Amino acid sequence: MGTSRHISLILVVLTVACLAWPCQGFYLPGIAPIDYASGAKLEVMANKLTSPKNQLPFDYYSLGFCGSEDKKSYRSRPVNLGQLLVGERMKPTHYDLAMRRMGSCKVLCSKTFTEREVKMFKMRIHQEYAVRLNLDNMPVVMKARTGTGAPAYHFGYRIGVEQDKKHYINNHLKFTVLYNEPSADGSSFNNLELDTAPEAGFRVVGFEVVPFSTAHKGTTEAELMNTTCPVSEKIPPQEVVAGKPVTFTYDVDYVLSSTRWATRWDPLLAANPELQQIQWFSIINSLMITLFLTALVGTVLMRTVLRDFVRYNQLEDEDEADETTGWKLVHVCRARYLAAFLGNEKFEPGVYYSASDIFLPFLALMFSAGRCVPCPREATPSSNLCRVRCTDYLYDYCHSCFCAAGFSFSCESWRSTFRHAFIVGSCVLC
Amino acid sequence: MLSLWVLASSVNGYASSRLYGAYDGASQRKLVTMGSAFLFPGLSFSIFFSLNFAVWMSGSSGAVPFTTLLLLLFMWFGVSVPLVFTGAYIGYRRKAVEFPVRTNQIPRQIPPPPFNIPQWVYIMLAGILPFGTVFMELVFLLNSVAQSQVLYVFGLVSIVFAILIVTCAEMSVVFTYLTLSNEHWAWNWQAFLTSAASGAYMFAYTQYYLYTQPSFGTTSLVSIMLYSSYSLIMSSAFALLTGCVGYYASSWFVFTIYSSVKCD
Repeated sequence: MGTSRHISLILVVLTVACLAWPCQGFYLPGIAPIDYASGAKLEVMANKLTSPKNQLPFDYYSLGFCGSEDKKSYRSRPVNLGQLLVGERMKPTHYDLAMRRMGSCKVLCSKTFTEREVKMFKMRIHQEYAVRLNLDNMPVVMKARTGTGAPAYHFGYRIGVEQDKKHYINNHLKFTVLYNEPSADGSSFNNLELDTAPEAGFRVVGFEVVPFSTAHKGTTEAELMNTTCPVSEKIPPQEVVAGKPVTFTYDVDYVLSSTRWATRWDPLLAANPELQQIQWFSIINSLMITLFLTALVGTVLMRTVLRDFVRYNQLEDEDEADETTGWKLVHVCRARYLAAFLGNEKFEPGVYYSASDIFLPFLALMFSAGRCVPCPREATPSSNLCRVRCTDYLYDYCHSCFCAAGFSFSCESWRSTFRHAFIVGSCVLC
Repeated sequence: MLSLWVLASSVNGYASSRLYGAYDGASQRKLVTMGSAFLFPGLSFSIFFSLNFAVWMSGSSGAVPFTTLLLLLFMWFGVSVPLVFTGAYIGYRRKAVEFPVRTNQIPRQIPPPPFNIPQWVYIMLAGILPFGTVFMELVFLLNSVAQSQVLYVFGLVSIVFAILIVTCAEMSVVFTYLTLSNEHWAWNWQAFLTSAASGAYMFAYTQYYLYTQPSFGTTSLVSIMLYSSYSLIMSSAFALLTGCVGYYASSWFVFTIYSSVKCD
């Protein structure tokens, strides 16, 4: 009573508090949408290198990518505890992206690898490591199609490819930034969003990449324009070698998307339709098993209860021996029986008042306690007789116990025999 | 999620003190409270710290920086442990749960089991069913880890969780009933272990999955250690969860059937 009163009081106070003061809502950091004007700088952050074959992530700048020579200036931005624990970082990169400014064959840098760097590259390419980048907290994905034609997304792009014992590095990246224009969409949902810049706000809703391995012949944009730009698959790939310069380049394309910022993760998280079907099947399977178990438990209990009820009824009428086994014993009533026998005069006439009645209940408990359950049926006649009398005592004992305990109104009714069936428990615990 | 786990330590202390109060209640209070505060978190933390050291030695960026380790230690000692003690204090102050019937001081002899099947066989058999209910979700989970894809199935997982709870409870009740029918009165550990055995199957399956991966021969030792240790922690947490559900279901069952005995 007290706790429910307390709870209702707390609820009333909370309701009043909510209604009394006007609230000023605010977005938690990291959850609010960021609007970019046309030409605003987009920051590509490097996260980590991951591999499907290996559980260990590695730092982006542990390999000889552009910017790795100056590791100290590439400290990670602060990330929350959960991200820290799974090894996620946010390290700045040199990619120069501006909202809705297309770019083609932009040079990131041109590097000459040392032997050690080449060795590391080859090892990571062999272990199938992929690079994870982030743009506005959206991971870079490679889009593919499943067998049924549904889109599937892979996080990150492979560092390189190993073919015929040669290692080729993906040094050209074709980025596609999907953006959404919230002010153009006149739906009422968008109008409710706070901090909307109605004139020139664009939001990033997707970040896709297609990697290429291109053996560039030059190191500046002018040189590349005439030779290996635009990049296509026909150009021979770039092998990882020491001593010769490797040029890292990238294209940027901006595509208007109807996906809203609030649902930008949905395409990435949508599970395979086949997967969903399998899961539903397994759930229904488990449900069937649970129902079966429930039926089993119910059946067992019902049968036990009814069986004991019937048995005790028969015992009363025919007064014959029956092997009471298992938990159908009376222990706790022992003390009551003695007390009743010694001090109480209200016994039923059916109880035997011989002097041996003090000892025989104990014997009854011992023998019919099922200690002879594993014993063969051909017990000695004496023990059989003992058992007969014991169970006889047992039943009368129980009956008298209940009657002495004050259930005289139901002494002759079926309720007392029903309760007899549950005496077991006390015997086991007692 | 981490903060939820830390805050739930108060429930940990409360539950363990109530359970202990129902049985003995006085002599070993300190041991019970310290055990519930330090046993499982201690195991997890020691595994995590040694794993972190191994990961750091291999140069991976997955190694948690030192300051974060200190923060985690502070979260454990500074927040979780006091919450456990607070919960335990509140639990001990409440009136203990009373048994519906008296217990005998002298323990009765337990008869040999039917067909002489030892107890642990029943326990191992019982663990299969709860494991079977979560098996499919576990397969998808491991597949998504292996392919580094995101699995977003909270709705389905919550349904499976509800089914798991019901299955564990019923398995434990059925086996407790069978145990009591065989006049085996020591049902407590049996009730816990029948449901908790599913954790052993979960661990076995994660190891089987690892060995049948095509990339098993080329994976580094640290990676295997990482995977195995995390699956060990996950399986023991799962075993504790299912065992707890089974134990509470069995004790409710026992209390119910014995409280319908009006003898004293």
